[in-house]
Amino acid sequence: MTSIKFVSMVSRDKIQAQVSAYLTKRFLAKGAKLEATTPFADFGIDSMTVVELVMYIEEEFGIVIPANQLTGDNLKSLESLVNCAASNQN
Amino acid sequence: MRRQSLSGSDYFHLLLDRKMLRNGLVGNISRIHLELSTDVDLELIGKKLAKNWTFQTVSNLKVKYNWPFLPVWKEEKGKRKNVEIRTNLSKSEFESSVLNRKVDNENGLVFIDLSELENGTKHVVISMHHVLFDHQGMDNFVQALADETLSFPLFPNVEKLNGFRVFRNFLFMTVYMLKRSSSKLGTLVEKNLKPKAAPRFRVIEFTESETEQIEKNAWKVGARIGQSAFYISATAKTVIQVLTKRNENPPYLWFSVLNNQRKKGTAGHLVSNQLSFLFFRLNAKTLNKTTDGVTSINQQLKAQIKNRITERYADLLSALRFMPMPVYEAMVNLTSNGKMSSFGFSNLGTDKINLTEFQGTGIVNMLHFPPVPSPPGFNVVVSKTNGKLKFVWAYFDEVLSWEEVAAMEQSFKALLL
Repeated sequence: MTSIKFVSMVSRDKIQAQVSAYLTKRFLAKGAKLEATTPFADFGIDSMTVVELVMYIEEEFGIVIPANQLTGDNLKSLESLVNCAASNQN
Repeated sequence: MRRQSLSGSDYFHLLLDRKMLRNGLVGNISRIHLELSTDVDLELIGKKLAKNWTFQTVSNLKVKYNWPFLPVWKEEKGKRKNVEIRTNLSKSEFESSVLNRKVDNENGLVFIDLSELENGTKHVVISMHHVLFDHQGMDNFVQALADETLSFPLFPNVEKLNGFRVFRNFLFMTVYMLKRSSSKLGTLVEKNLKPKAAPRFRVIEFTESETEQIEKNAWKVGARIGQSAFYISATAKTVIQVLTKRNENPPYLWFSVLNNQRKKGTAGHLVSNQLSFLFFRLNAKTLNKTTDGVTSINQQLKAQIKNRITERYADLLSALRFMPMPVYEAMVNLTSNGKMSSFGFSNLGTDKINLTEFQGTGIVNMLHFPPVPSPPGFNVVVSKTNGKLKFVWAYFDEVLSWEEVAAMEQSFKALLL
């Protein structure tokens, strides 16, 4: 990972597709498939991995999720994380 | 059995074991302690375990060093008797023998004690050498012991390593470690201290409502995405308070935190660690305020994720498998002058197995006792079961006095609550 890129608005679906692809390639076992609504914890995804996903979103899409929005509810699943990220696009 | 090399973190655990044995300890051994209901027939459980495929297979594994090639797992022929039933044990006998059981490469890397104490309580203690299992492996193993219908792959899939990448990361991490660690770290223990007795364990449990309050407090001081930064900061503060009372004023604390490198989305294999580490340095001044401690940990964490330190360190550990053990030990000693770290810390997260039964018998209580390397002589494991936080502190009498531990506990609770 390097510095933050400046990017234009991206659709919520595109963010989800890209984050999902990154998560699958980097962290998931061969053949494992994560549904967007499955809680991360149920899939063995720990807080370190979630930190990395948040940093990936920041870097790839230039979306900074404010610290006060890094709540358990917002970081519960891929869907909630992406919703939170999409709502913070400038 | 297919030919399987030890992972870099397996070999690192052998190095820790070597250092622990050198200091007169029983070795790098983790234990799961289950208290069962009093009506259980321990002999029957012993017989069932003797027939358990997972237990017998793992009992027969040993490490073959194989230098100048990679160390490999080897299966011993014949059945090992690695279960013992003892009755009428006093609490102190139980602590000094069962909770201090030695397991080693010669006699088997896993052992199960089935014990009945004088007070009629019944206990299963599973002693596991850390070269065998990471935390997920232990969970899998205990589940396979508790219910023989469960089975897991013995080893992970073999991944081809990119030699160039490993060599590049080996160089990067060697420089990184030499630059960042030094012998000035604060520690509770004299280097090469040889504890005379078994380690002590203090269990600090919180109720559900206390746990909720602690998690709210973690948020208030800036711990986001998990509470580890808050727990580490509070632990570090209690350590530095002890050192200050001893009139030692170390400039900083230095410690590593385990990072699970297993691929997610599957229960995975039994044997072989897939771990890496993150490294933190907390200046004494930073620890005056919990918020500052948490902020510093968060910043260091983000910087290490950016620099892919966990993957690079895993590559360093992989490369070090080619080193003969004495050379490996000398290299590690060089970076910290033998002090290793200020304390050990592992957050096991929410207990996923949450066993309620073992071989058809109800479990009254379950505890995880970590190994206690000396140095640093003080190790903390935190987990959350049924919404309740549980900290296990492991230490030696020579490292912390009873009064110091009592004061630490009081301060720790006050910091969290």
